Amino acid sequence: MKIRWEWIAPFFPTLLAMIIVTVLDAVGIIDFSSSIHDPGTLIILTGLILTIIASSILLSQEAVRQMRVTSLRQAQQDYDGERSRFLRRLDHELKNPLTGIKLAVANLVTIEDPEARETIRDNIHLQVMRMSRIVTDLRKIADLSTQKLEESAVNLEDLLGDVYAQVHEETPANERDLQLNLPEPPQGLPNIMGDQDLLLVAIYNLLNNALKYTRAGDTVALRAYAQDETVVIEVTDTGIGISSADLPYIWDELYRSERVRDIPGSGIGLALVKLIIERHGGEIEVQSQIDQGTTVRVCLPAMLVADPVTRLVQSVSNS
Amino acid sequence: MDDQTVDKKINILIVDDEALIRDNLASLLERSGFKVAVAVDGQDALTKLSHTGADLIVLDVIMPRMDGRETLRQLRQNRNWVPVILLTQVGDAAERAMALEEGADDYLNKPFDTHELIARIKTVLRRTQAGQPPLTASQRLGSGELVLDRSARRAFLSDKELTFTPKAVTLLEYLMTHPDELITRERLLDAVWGWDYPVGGRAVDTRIAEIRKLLADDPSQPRYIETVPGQGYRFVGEVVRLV
Repeated sequence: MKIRWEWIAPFFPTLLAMIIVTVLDAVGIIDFSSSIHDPGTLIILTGLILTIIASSILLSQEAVRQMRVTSLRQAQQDYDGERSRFLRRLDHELKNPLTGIKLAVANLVTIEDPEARETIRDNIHLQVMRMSRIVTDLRKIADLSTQKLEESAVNLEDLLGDVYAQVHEETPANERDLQLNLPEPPQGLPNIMGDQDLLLVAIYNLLNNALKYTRAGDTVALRAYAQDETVVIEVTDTGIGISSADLPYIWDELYRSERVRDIPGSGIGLALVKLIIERHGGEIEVQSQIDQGTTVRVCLPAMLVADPVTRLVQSVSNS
Repeated sequence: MDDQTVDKKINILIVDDEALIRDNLASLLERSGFKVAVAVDGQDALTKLSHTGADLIVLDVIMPRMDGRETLRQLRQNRNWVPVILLTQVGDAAERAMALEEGADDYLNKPFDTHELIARIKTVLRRTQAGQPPLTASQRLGSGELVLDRSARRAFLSDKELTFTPKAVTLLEYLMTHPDELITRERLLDAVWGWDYPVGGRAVDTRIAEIRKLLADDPSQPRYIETVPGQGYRFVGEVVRLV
């Protein structure tokens, strides 16, 4: 083991005190008798106290360092684990369409029936689109983690209304009971500072996800309310739910539960939502029970609300 | 095929370092009736251009030796206004902004749809007049009382500055540099936002509404932006170069 100077250093004050006392004793300035009242003893005691203080500082620093090393190592392990899980999932997601394309190309060589060839070509096209989607979405996530948000005051009532209308248009009639619950005036929702387009994507993804993992007859509700200095947006459904084993991973890129393999999806939507919410200084959490349903709750910091008089003046001038 | 037909064909130069893309694109464009030459990077492209010329260049951005950006810059510095369609990277907003700033006529995000590329080529060819600089080569564009200062990212209406969001400026810029052209919501999303979410159509509509409001443009009698129902938008004002 290598000798570290900082371990020896705390003994220097004691050593120095002993040398001083020995020298003073030798030249006859003091007469060292190891009595408690002796100046020599006091010098040595001071040295000892300094040694104890230095050692304890050093020990506590070492403990902090060890803790930091352990937590860094843990973080590194977590990161490595996450990374290798991500690569495994990417491998899996790309392997399937690639295998499909390989088989299709092999078939194209031998099959001559024009109709069958057309089907094969369509299949290749579909698989290629699937892979482009994955690559584009991953790129989007990478860009989003660093790009500057284009912030402006966002009227959440309009935004949520837009998302609701869009999803409503896409959902076949009578298949799901879609609900929108916003606070009635005069309360309303405070504005938030954010990137309107990204927030639109985030809320759309949440609502679309809820629709994907519900069955005909289920209810999907989009609700928002102000709470303290935040705005809470909730998407609640009575769908198939998420198992407790899957819950910790649902925000990871490309993660897809075995239970939903037959429902199309890339496993990127929620990762994107989480990133968007976090970039806005918000929080997102999920509660779910198998076959009972899921609630995703997003909290976003509200913009400072003007006092009632100013609001009144604003609303009058707006109208 | 006799020589005369070949001569009449439009010459397209494809510049991409990826052989697979180059070759497949070449054969695709040839089947669409174009005469195609290929170059492996910017340097190669400039050499080939000086020998044979081209009616339009499809230019990849990321290439070794000389990238698409530098190639485009050199062309425009030499006042060579051959129409250029840049192949950019999805999601890279800076790269898209650069494409128009440096005088590309249009751009497409990789991986692009081949039909979209052919449609773009035809539109760009229709719009450009031989030997004339494209609208994207001008830093200031005007239409009626509207002035767009592209380098400063500012817009003015009757000399009064308009407070647009950066996205709205880019959208207005795209529309003004492609006047009188029906541009679908999907195309605007791809070109300005760089993504294509289903909800994107609404994002486009919201920004168009923002632009219209500040321009006091009545959608039922548009001076600037016309809605083509169920399809997209068209900049109907006459666009002039101011610088």
